[in-house]
Amino acid sequence: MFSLPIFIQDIKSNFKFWMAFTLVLCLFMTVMINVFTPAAIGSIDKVSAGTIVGNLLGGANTLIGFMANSFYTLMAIVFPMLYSIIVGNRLVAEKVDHGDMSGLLSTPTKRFTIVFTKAVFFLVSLILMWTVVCLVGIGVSHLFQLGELSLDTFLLMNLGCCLYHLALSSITYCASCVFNLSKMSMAIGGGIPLFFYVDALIVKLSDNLDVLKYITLNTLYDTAKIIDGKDYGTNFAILLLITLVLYSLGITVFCRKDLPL
Amino acid sequence: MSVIVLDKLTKDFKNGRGVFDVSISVKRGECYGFLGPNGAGKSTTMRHLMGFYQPQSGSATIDGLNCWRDQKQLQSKIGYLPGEIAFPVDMTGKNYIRMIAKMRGMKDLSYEKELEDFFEINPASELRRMSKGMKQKVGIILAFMHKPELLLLDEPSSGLDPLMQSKFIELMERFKKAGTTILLSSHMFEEVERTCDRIGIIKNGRMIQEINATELRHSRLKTFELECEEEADLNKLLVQFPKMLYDRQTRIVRISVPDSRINELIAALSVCRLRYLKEEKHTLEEYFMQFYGGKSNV
Repeated sequence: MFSLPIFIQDIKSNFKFWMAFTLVLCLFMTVMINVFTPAAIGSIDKVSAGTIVGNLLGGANTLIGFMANSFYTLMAIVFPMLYSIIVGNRLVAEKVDHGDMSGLLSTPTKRFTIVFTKAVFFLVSLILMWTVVCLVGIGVSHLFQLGELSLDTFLLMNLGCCLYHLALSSITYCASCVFNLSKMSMAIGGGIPLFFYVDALIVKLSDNLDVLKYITLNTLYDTAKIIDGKDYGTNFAILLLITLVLYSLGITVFCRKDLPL
Repeated sequence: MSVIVLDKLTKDFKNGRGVFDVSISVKRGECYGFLGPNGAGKSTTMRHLMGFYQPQSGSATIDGLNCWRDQKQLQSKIGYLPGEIAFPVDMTGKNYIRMIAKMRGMKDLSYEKELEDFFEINPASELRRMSKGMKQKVGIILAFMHKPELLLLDEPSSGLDPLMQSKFIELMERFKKAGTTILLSSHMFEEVERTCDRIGIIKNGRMIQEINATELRHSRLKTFELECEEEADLNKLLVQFPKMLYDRQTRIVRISVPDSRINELIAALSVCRLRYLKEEKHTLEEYFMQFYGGKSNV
């Protein structure tokens, strides 16, 4: 069911990616929290009311509102997404394509054990990434914006973002398990998340393209609903469900397919 | 009692590649050679035995266990050397060997040490910096270190220098003596001929024929090239070996004889003055042609 040597090897082999992306996220978190000054944002709000910029920046006069529209719509989405695309592909498809998966399969280890262990590593690494980022955020706002941060909302915001990224990782992982060629896994596992991101951006820029919000995962991570403290539960549940389904699908396919090793 | 049984194994990759209706059975302690040109289906057959491929029809079993379904149980008995060895790019040989040993549940690595010394290799360096030959040695160590009951070796001596090739054959003979069943694939006649009891020739995914190795050794024609000093000698040889190929200008002669006529040839040559004499190495294709009387549709 679970193989410790594989888990340790995956940690060793992917640690530098995890470290790099976590560091960048923490850095941006620190910078964005520092940038926030309620007065300045308030004046931007007045000027941009009713324009496209207003759409993008709506309700940014609290620290959490400001973060929701900056950090949580850009950096917090893009960087972990890149991490998932790179590492998701490395975990399975690259090993099949390159051929070193045969070494693992030559030992008395079930295919299921191998991909299940790798899935656990992937999920844990993302959860850990968000735990670190969240703690850094709390620490930094305590230092520079004392009393400005509503902790409950902030925690929910990070929980939501983490769930969103787990769902995203399930796409890259599923692609990695399904395809024997690294380039195919990259194209599908990387293409879909990037498409989601661009699609979500377009939805924000125009009111006429509302249908598009149904073909992206990003609208399920609705920062406005989290700040309002209402109706976010269903979205969270859907994200969790997608994660479960796609990870299971990837693992099942991998256990049944032919491996050209 | 057969250990490996392939029963009408078929896997069609649609582009003419694959294996079709391959049936073999290998007895315990036997060394079976799989001989065929590149792309003949040797590796595909091995992958079925390793449980990497699911048969389209027919079956592959080892010790009565299904190679696809019971992969985990079988792997503890098998030592596998893939045809194209690929290792993780970010590990040292030592660490990789240790990791695989851990996954095999091995505690005692003394035999692994022995193999390192035998092949004169120190696998402490990074795997991606290793030469083809070094990687091959690491692959061999990984396949043999747990003293498996059954060895599946896909072109095992590729990349090894002649000295190491013969050391490798020595190692195989040691395992064979200990009762290990060996399935070996190769496109080199010499290698298979030296180690195997039985040989299956496969081409375009189909088993052409199974032969006894000793039978093959003696039924084969051998070809000798020589240069006569005088044309008179060439004429003398032509009388005795009318099928020989020759060139009057250079006086270079090619004679093919079966083993049964070798003494006759030596006697004939003993009265000729020669510049040189050498045995021609055959390509696999030529061997096939000889073996099947020149039919090109083998």
